[in-house]
Amino acid sequence: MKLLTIGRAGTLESSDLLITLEPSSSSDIEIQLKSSVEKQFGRQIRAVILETLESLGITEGVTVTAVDKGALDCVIKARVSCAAYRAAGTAGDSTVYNWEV
Amino acid sequence: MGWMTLRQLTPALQLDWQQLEGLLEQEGIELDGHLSYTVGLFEDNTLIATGSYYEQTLRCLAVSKTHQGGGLMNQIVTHLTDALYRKGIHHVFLVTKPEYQRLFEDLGFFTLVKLPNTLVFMENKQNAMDLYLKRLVQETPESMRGLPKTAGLVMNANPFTLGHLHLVTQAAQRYDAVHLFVVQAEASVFSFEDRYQMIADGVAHLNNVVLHASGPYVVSMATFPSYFLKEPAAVVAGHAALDVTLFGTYLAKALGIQTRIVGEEPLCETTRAYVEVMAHLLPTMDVSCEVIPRVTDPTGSVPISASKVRQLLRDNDWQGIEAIVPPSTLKHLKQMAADGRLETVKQSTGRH
Repeated sequence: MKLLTIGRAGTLESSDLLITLEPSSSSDIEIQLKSSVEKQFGRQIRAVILETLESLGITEGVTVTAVDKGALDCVIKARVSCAAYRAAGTAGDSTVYNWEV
Repeated sequence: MGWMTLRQLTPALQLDWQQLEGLLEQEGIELDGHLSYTVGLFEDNTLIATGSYYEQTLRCLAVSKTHQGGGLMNQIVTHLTDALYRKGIHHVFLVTKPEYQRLFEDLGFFTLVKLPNTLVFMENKQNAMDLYLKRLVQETPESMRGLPKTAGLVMNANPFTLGHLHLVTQAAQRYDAVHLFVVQAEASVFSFEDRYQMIADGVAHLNNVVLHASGPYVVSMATFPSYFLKEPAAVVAGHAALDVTLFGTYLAKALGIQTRIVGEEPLCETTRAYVEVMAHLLPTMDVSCEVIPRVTDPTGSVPISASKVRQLLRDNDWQGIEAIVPPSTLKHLKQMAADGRLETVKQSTGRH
């Protein structure tokens, strides 16, 4: 999926994740994470973000800024996907969205 | 816990606004004279939390003592940054009391400067300042880097006059390298593009001057709102302290600027207040401040000013204009007139 603009999803409330995806000219995915549980789950959170982006066909050229307030993996996946679709400008296009559960 | 509602607050709804004033006073926060948007969180009919923004800076943020620790500020900040996101604003700044620094760091903000006992100034990006400073260095020709006598000056130039030219010429003569920051905020009758072009054309013959777009970090709506609004002296001084501290801490260090040059300001009270703050604060950051006297117009009695040029444009007095601007500016203005782009300038009656 190609990202055309900055996409954002989530809130700063407890157990949620606020994430912003910004297209960049770099060849990697850069993750800037602020988490209240960085020491315990930092690595896991980054992994879930990357896996979710990969499943959407996003493997490079993105700067991810995330403020985590203790979100579970399913919440991370949902917020990342939403931000990605907003960034791609195809939000709401159900013919391309993988609805899963 | 009662019924919670989140809604916009405006002075038009007096009962709401009175509660806002009361809450901010209770929490020791100054209510800004100019805000773009204010939101309030109510429990039943009592305001318990609030936040606002002016342009891209979050300000006047407070949660009632009776309701702290419940994630209410998280809600306020989410709401405000979401509103800004929907306006296409992604780089968000924040001004708050120093004791709330940790709280906002937990909400994804990063500290730029802290003025003890006054305020802390933050932004929502971790490396934006680094990238900005890198850009400034990259824009500077190698031959101009790391020179012993390096000066900096900030200019709006609305438009670029002989007075501005005099200032830059003096700086270029007395210093090895001059960094000229052009105010990027679009709050003047001449657009940033036009102002930048007129400056560039006007100083093209000076080979030790480099131009930089100011970005949001110097004399911007985020760092020095009083420049663009009419505010009381105490407020101006507060904003000036922030702007000057940012300059001394980051820009001056990155570019090796030892002196900030500024033109003497007989007409504009705001600029005068700013210069006063600069003269006090910059030396504490190892930057000296030099004030260069204004030049007067051909009659010898009136200092040359951009506002005079704008007045003459309204009066269609091209002879008068020619006497106080460099030929390059005159050429640019005449081209704008030919392109029909001077109408808004002529009709404007604002400060800038």
